[in-house]
Amino acid sequence: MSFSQGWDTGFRVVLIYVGIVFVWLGLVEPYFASQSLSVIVMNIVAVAVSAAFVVRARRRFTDERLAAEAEVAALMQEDA
Amino acid sequence: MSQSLSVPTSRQRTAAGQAAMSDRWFSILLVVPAMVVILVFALLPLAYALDVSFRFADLTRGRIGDFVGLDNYRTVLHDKAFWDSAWVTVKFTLSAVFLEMVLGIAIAFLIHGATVGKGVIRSLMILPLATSAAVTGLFWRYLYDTQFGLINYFLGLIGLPEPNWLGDYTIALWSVILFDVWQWTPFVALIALAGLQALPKEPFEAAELDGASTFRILRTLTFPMLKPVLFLVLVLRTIDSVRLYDAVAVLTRGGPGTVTETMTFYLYRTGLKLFRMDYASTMAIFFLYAMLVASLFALRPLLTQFSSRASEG
Repeated sequence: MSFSQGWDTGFRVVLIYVGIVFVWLGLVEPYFASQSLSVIVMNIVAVAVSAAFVVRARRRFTDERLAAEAEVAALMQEDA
Repeated sequence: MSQSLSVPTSRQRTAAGQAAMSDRWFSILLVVPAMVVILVFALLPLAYALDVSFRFADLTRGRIGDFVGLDNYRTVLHDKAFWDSAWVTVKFTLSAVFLEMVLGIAIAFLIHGATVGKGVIRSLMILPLATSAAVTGLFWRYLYDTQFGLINYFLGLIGLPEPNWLGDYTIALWSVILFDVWQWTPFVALIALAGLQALPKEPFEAAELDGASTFRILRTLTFPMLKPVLFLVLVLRTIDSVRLYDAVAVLTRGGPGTVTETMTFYLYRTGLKLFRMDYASTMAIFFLYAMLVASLFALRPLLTQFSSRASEG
């Protein structure tokens, strides 16, 4: 993952994390009896979703890189 | 053209490395002033607002208080007035931007087809844009006045009912929308006109020779070619409409009741009238988040288009 890809992914992860916090506090937390338990579960969910996003992004970037390398290799083979 | 490949010597490589290093530092040096400005005027206030949003900050008590965790966020997210103001903002943005886009594009086509007076019309169209909304808002307050306003005077002359433009809760928001449309339609029209004038003539001449109808030319040539420009104007106007404050502050002050209270005006009222900086900062963070997410989605097609053009080029 290059610096710009990491930066972009990091920014989106922050947005996802904050978004989950807002949605949780607004819609999900009223169903919890204990506020502290709700915050713990919220952070677990937010970390899990963010981590899943990073893994998915990393896989996508790797696939894109492999596809580009294959394309270059095919072009070089054509030239040779 | 022949090209020769040569393997650089270690000295050349070191020199190239040093040059690259110096270029890198030079580029960093160029970026530093802009970064300092952003840091001082955007990031530090943002960090401070973020800090305040996690504290108890009732300024009538005289100081920024203790850490309260997510309590301010809980309060704001369950505040009915906050969601009402968000709904007013959505209604205002959708109506104003739709009207501005339709009227602006129509005016741009009319001016584009005009044979005389284009320059004068363009200069006149800049006038609403060149004046501050606070000033033009005052003019419009007098125009809307129920007793002495020009609008009601002319309506009375032709025997139509004379509504209380800014005091009637059913039409107050529409009065603010009308003012915004008056002020910002020329902006859309000028940008669309610039886009129209920049279009190449050859495809249109070929279409006319082939006997294509005006509607078909519009549908298959003009609008697809204008799409990037129109999309950019749409994004700019949407962002600006969501931030609406000055028109509301001058025309209605959020009233009657709270029917014209937008998110930014509610934020101002909470922070600087009720002195609850904690709730105001929380709303500002929420507002910033909503704008970031919306612009991420809104700009995606535009950025994709730019990157595909760059790769084609």
